[in-house]
Amino acid sequence: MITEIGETIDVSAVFLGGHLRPVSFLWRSRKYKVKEVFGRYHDYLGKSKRFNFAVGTGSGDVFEICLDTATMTWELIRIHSEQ
Amino acid sequence: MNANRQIIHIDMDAYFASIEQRDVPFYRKRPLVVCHTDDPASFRGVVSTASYEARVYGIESSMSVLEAKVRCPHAVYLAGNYDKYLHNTRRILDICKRYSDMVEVFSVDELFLDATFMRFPPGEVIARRIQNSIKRELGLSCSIGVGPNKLIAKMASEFRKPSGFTVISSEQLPGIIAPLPVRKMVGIGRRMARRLDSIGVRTIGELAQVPVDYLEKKFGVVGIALHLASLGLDDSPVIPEHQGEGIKSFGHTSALGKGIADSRELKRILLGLCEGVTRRMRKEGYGGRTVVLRLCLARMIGYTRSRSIKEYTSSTTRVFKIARKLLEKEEKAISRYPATLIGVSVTNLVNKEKGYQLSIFDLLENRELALTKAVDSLKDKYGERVIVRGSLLNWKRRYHSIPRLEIGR
Repeated sequence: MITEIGETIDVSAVFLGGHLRPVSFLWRSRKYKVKEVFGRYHDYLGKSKRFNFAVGTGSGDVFEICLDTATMTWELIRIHSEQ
Repeated sequence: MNANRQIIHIDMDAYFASIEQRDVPFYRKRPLVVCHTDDPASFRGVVSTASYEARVYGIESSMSVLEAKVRCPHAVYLAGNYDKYLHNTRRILDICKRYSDMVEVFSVDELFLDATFMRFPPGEVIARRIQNSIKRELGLSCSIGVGPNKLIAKMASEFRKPSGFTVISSEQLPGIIAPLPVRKMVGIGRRMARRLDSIGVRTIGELAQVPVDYLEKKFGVVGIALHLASLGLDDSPVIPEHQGEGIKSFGHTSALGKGIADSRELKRILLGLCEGVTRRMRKEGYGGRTVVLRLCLARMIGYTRSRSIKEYTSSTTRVFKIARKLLEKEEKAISRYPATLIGVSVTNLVNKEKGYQLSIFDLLENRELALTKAVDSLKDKYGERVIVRGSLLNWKRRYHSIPRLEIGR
């Protein structure tokens, strides 16, 4: 099941080996620790470069999150759930 | 022609579906269908790629989503994310370029590499390394074909899938390809296979025995190409990015599900397509002289209509007016057989850098020119959806258009 979210989130991230890597994020007052980054890519919205990640938190769900470099804000785009 | 050429063809396995399965682990081993639609929950659009698990149910590319859902209702249906796929293609290109600059991006999921002048390590070893790197670094599988030319390398990569590795040398060539059905030959579709069948040709070997004069008489220049291909002959070069011939056309198409006969609705869709095409032309600095309308009626009758003008243009209004006229001429046919696909493209292009100037008609439409400029600059800065024509407000939501995929950027 895919649930579209489109909400701003707070993210802690590190720069690792020349790559940006999200470590944890805060969504609806709950903190999620990023256990695995399954995929990453970048795209553009107009002139703004965006970094997209598909991350797992150990719950089985996959969260698609995105950093918009024009606004320097992170967004939780959607959640893929198994059921 | 160099008989000792060594060409590597890299063909990604169920590419778009594999990327989605990599990114969401519980989609792995499950039937997954990537669709050309912005609403995968609907029955509109066409199948872009089906995972191998979905192919078991007979789902294949270009099939309507409606039919795919009948065949496998429990599959995962996703809208294609082409930015993501292109990002992966660029990374595959980077891996290939570690070995050679002679890399041609043939399509979003296919690349050719010319390893002719690589003595150490030899082409086969390079091909293996590329296959392993793609697996290790991107988590994606590909099938590789190595052959004396592009045609054979491409056929070789299709021999074993997924994760296949096939080498065909010039010596092995006749024995391997002769017994294969003609459909296995690159460029032979269902229609051509039927035409060949009507003259008693079913295998590539049988095609090779037909006199070239006869093929030319029957199929024109295509007949000569068929003859050469049946012998495994192809001297087309691998064209790296920096030597490419440039863009030849800009086009968008839209699949219309069960079909639309309402001409007002079709014109609205056409306007959306023209807007998409001309916007990309302006962005790349191109103008074109020929507008091509592509139609498919009742999922069976596919054809194109075109019209050329004297001046080069990239104006949405101009291109739309021409395409609309072409469409109006088809209204009678469409009223009997609803359009299931509509597309528009602009060819006969010239780049601004090579002296392309706006036509006098474009310049006369001063207000529109200024408006277009302002809208384009807004879209450049904030993205394509920041401003849309009122008549196209719901357009994107209903009809997803498919632009030509670009590798750059």
